[in-house]
Amino acid sequence: MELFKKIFAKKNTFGTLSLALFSYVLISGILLAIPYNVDHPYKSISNILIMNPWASFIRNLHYWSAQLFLVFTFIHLYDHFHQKIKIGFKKALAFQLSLGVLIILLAMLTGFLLKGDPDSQQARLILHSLLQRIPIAGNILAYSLLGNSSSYQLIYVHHIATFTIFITIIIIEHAKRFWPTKEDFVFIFIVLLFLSFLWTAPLHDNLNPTVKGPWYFVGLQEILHWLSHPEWILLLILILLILVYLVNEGKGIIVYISKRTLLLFIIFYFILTIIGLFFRGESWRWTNPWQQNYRYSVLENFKTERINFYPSFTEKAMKTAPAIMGRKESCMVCHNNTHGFTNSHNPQAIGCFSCHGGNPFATSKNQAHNGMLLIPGNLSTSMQSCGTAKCHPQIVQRVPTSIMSTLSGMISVDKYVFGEQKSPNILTSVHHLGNSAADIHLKNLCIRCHLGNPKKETGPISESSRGGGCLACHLNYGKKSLSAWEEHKKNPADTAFLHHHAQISLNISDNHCFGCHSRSGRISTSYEGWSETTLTPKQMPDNKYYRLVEKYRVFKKEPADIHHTLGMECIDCHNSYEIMGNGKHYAHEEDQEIVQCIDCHFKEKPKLTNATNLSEEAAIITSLRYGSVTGVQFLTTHKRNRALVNTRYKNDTAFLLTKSTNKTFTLKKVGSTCNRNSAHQDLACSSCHSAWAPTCLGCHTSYDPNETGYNGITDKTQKGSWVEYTGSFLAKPPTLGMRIEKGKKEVIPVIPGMILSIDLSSFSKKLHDSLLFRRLFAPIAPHTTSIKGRSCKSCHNNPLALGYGSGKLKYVIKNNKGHWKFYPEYENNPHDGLPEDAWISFLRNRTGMVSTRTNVKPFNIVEQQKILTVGACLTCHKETSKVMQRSLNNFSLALRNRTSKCILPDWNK
Amino acid sequence: MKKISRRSFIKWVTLSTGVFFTVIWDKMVSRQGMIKIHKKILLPYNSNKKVTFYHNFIVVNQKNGPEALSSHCTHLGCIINREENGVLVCPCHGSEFSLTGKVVRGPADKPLPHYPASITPNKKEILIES
Repeated sequence: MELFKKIFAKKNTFGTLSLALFSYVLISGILLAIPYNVDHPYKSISNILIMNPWASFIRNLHYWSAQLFLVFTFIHLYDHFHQKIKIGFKKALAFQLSLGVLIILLAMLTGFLLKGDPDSQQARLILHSLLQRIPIAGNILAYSLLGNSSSYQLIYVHHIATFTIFITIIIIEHAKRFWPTKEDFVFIFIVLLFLSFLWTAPLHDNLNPTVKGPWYFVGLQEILHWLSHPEWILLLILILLILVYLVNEGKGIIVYISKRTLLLFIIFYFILTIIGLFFRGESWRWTNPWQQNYRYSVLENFKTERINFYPSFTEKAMKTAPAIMGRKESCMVCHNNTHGFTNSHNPQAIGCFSCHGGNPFATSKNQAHNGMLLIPGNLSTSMQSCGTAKCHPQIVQRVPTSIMSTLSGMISVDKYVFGEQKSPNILTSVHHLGNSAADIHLKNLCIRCHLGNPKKETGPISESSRGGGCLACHLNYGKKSLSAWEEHKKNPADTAFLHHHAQISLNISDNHCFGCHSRSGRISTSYEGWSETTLTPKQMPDNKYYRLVEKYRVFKKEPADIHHTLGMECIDCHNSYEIMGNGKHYAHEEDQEIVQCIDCHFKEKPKLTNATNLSEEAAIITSLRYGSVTGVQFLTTHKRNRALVNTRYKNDTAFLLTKSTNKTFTLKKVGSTCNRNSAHQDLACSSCHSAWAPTCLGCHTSYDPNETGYNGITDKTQKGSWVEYTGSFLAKPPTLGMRIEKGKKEVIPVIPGMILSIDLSSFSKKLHDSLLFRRLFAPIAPHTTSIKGRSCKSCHNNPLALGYGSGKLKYVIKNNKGHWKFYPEYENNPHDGLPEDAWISFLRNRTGMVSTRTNVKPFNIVEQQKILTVGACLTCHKETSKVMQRSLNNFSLALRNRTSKCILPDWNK
Repeated sequence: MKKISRRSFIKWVTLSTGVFFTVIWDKMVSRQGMIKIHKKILLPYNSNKKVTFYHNFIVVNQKNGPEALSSHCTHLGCIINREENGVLVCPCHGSEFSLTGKVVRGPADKPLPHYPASITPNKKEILIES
């Protein structure tokens, strides 16, 4: 302060500094009018920023001199009040000054509006709306100030003429003898030079959803957001202006009260401004610095670069770059020769910034790449790339609650098995994992596959990929982009890959799913006909019947799913609502899934949707894949009524078109054997038509503090990890179980989901934590569909199908009495006395913790007896025999008509 | 005749000139742009899209046909350009409206106005009477 006083003579006040600033506002304003185009304000400013650093410098000078002018004017006003300098204002002058404050704010605000960016457009509407609400003259004032809504002409005129002239007159009249000194001008000029060089005046990027007014009105924006009747703010402004007038013109106590009220308001307004600037994000929501999106929705407003007087590109190059979303984007100058995009993502239409962020108005590489997303589409940043309002907001909003993102089922079941949750149906999410035994187990071994696991390196999706947000499915490298990328990996100096961009498209191949879905339930590998073994790569006999996955997992050839053999891919059945969810957080995968066999292989008539009734998403996908589909009827899922866009229904015939490979199939109706309502009507298609399912036996899980493990959340290795010791992998026809839902029973395939022992004490180091033993079976959609269903005997006479485990099931007739006997293949497990691969004990009930779902149970005694009764018949009669075929229509009648040779099982021991 | 002082003469002249220009201003502005003409607007229509945002309108496809709402928030006129989980959200002060235009969350307290809308026979455009 002392130094400040030394430099400036007594004559200098904030008033003279303001006046000096105003001179610079005028000069820079006149110069700025040259490159500024009032017909295309936003585009012309983006042009200034990108093409003309000198004009940008002038714009910054105009901006900073105006902001400082406003600040200094107010300080000057306060100074005047504070020092109680009574210069002897006349009433008219006091009035003039109060009005002057208003006019200065209007001049500033019109300057803000003239940017023409989204902030300005919304501010203009707010100003219009507020002015309109002024009693009597509202409409006229609004139109006279802002003019026609499609033009900025009148605002420009007021900014450069009306208000400027008015302010000039007030200043001349007010200043009279007090003019700035040389020092004022020099000091202010130096400050302005620094500010203008270092910080570019803001311009909205047209994508960020946060909309804020100029900094001096952010407090006002905060007040307005409380007011259902914002017209009250007019009264507040009027009161403030009267207070300013009274401080000048009032007497005695009135001056004191006015002054104190103004001071209180200033403090209050300052707090509101801080809140508005730093704690309000998109849609004016409270956002604090600890929130993930804070940087994007709050700090992005402050992103500014210093002036670069020597841009990295020529003006000519910039002129030929296309205008994108109403403005120029400097990214396109350097990256002007990039190919490989689909039409929807053509940078000529959406630029680079829409996906990659950064700074669209930069003039050098470093500036442009500041804050850039090298790999957009990861879920943590998807709202600023794929999910911005103009792109795919609805989809990006719902993906985080989808089962692939939350892994709710996997987590809940694991915690249930570890005894940390009473039910496997609790909604959980990878984002809420703690440090319990199950949580660490999940982090070490399971949850790396969640969709939110970020993709960190460029390159195609491979069998070792996990997660990756939108890119996990939608990223595709073509031949050129792949070879260019491989070259770049070998030699980082080779930048040809910049010209061959990977494609974001709907071409989602089975390989995209493979990385995650070749694990656990192993749907991807089963579908392609590969079953995992415990062989090591060295033990792999050949490449024809064996396949190496991820360099260490050896798979053996088994029959592939018929749909795969025919050339269908995962996405030919599974649609966008299944994969990306419908916005609802489901507990288990089967709750989110909607496609069922019956949707395509219907009984008589399918469920249909007309092209005109497609959802927006289905319509877009359909038009992108197949062009116009006017008049087409689509098959529709029975669950949640979603149209299957790759199906057609014409002349009583249903067709399926593969999505990527352009094959057409005529869909077969459900077979007559399955259509009969007297037997097997409770069977899910997959219980008969699954050729095999992967099974895993004899697992043991314990915690090894010295083992180097992996943390799926932090994506880093760590010391100490849960380790799984696998017994054996097998490929066998699945066991059958019962799903009971809403009183309806359905026989479904199940596999040993968790027959394992968990050494809890190895983790907790507490003696009372014993060894947990679990024998849970899990429902599965095996994805090994065969045209021919299972034989009668493969269920009715098969101990594995019934849940007893492998072994021999014999029907023994002795003394005219029939008895079923079971000889298990595996030893009884000491923990529960059941054979290793069994679900239930032979002809016993098993209840309690039996499966990974609360609605899936093994067969009870009565059901086992019913199945085995048929099995007893099948020991003598062939499946194809007339009597067995007849029995399918009426089994009771067949039993009544049996001869004395037929000995039914005697269930009494 | 009573003599008028110079001061009061100037006062009268200023006042009457002021009134004269105010009246002219009022008349002129009213002529220029204040008369509300009912306009019909034809916009591209997508029957599959649940919510479509246009500059001044939001078209929502309800079960019983499309509804045209004003896209201007009833609080202070900002353009609503975003839907979040079935709710229309104003970017300026955070007002939220249901897809039928009702206020879900303030500060706005009035629903979004509806405009009569009809689909053209080719089903590709929507005619909104504003």
